[in-house]
Amino acid sequence: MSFLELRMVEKRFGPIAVLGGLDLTVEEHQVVCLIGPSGCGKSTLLRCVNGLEPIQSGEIVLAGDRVSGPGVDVNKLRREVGIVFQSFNLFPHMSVLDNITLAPVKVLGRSRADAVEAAMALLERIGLPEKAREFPDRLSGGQQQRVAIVRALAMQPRLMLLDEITSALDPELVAEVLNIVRDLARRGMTMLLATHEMGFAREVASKICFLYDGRVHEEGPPDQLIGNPRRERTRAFLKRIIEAGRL
Amino acid sequence: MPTLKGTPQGASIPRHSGELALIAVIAAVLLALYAIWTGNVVRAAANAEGQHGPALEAVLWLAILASLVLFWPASQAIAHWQAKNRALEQGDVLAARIAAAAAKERAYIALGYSAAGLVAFAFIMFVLANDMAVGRTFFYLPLMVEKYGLVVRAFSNNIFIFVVAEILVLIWGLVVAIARLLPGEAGRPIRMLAALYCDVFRGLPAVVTLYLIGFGLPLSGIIPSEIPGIGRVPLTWFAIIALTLTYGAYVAEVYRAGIESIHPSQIAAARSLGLSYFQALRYVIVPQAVRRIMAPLLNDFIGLQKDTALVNVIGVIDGFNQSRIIASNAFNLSAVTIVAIIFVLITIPQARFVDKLIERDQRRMRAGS
Repeated sequence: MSFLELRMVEKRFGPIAVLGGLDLTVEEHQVVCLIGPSGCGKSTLLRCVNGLEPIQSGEIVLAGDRVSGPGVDVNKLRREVGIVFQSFNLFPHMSVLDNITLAPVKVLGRSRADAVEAAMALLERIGLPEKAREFPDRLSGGQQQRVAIVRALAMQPRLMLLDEITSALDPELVAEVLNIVRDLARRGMTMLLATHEMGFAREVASKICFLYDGRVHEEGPPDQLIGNPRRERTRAFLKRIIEAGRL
Repeated sequence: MPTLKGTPQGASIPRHSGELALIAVIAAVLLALYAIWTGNVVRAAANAEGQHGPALEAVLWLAILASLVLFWPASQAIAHWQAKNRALEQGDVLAARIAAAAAKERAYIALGYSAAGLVAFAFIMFVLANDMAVGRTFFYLPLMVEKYGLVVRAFSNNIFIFVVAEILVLIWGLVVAIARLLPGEAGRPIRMLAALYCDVFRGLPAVVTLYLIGFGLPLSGIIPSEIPGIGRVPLTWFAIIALTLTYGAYVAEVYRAGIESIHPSQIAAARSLGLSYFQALRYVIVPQAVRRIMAPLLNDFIGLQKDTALVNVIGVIDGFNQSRIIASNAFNLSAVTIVAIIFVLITIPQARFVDKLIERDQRRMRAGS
């Protein structure tokens, strides 16, 4: 059994089916990239895995445990599954350090001293220890997003969901964020990420899934899916990406 | 680039600069005359009271001289206007335009200040009107000096009521706001109850609530007017309960608006870290909401403070009630003026304090842009 399995997942917003019977598997230590046109359900899929959106039918299984449907302890699920958003969503009224230590202290019950020590070690890793006392608004977008990643990592999740984490960044700030993701991939973190950075996806992904019409339309190893897509829709999508100069 | 001499097609020059400059001069003249007249009236009144002296005379002349300062912008306006005419004759439209704009600006300055001066002198005239009857009714200094201690002491009751009520309102309002925002089907009856509470107590006049609670609760025996071992429940506490209920409804709405103004992505971020709904409210949503509602919250607090003047309907002796007693004994309203002044004075430092708080918070959270 795979580490994360989505089986026939259906997600509707009113009459609109965003995910229509989607199947997807992620193995442990894999990096799986979701690509596809805007509105194809990449973000929704990630939010469903994290329990931020309920699903209408199908099931989501994480490490052998069903994590969708009624009776699931979403707070426990979210301790194991971290998510990073496109718009950072740091807490503006807290310092960087408080942003990172809030959940470990309040949710995991760590002592503040331990949480601070762990947070400083993480900030060290991403090269921002001197920003610990700053407030988010004083940071650049790239720095904010790096802090947001660290905030999720501080919960020591077993799975990280990254929702177009570089889409809101100025081009010159994208690399610093992607470097952290590369580092995480090297350390064996299991990740499921939605992205428009095709070059990056090709480099770090174990598997790329092209989402279309609420399902995984085509999936495969990066070189095969990007270099030699089998299906028409995938080819058309990648052609537009290449025309936009993004690959 | 060619110099813009001559008249470019369609180039516009601010109009009415001449008229405005003239009006400014007239306003300055009128104000100066009005100042002199006011000075004479004050001098006459002071003579009648036997209070006339060099100090007063100095103040009067200072006021009159101050009103003459307006001739400065008014004459500048005239000078700029003439400069405009000269420039036009030479065909220099750009220079004319600049001069006309300057003339208008100076004229408006003169007009603005003369309007303010007019109001100030009119107020002095009002106080002195009718052989100083107005002044004596509202500002009879001997009575004010004699009685202000009494009024201030009674006002401590107002302070006690509003400080306790404000603390209770801060807590109670938040409870009601969170009740109004409870999610899900199970929360529906609580939401409706909280909404009903807000509707009722925002709709009820504070004085009616005070009356019903101040007389009703002891009368119905729900809250005994005497607690064994402690003694009588002071009426003040009924006033505090009534004002807390009234202003709790207002403040709950302010809290709710603040909480709803926080972007849902903040809740998503907090919940995604494993925080429960109430933890997310406690650590992420409410702290941000409170920062946003500081100014409207102060509005409601000032309202509450002023409404402590209503507590005399249930027989609590507050600053206003005390001053009314003095006023009816002396047949003069100056004691009420004391309490009026106190009410105004206590709100000003609060407003500045809240401004400072907001400013400090923004400096801390925002970049130096």
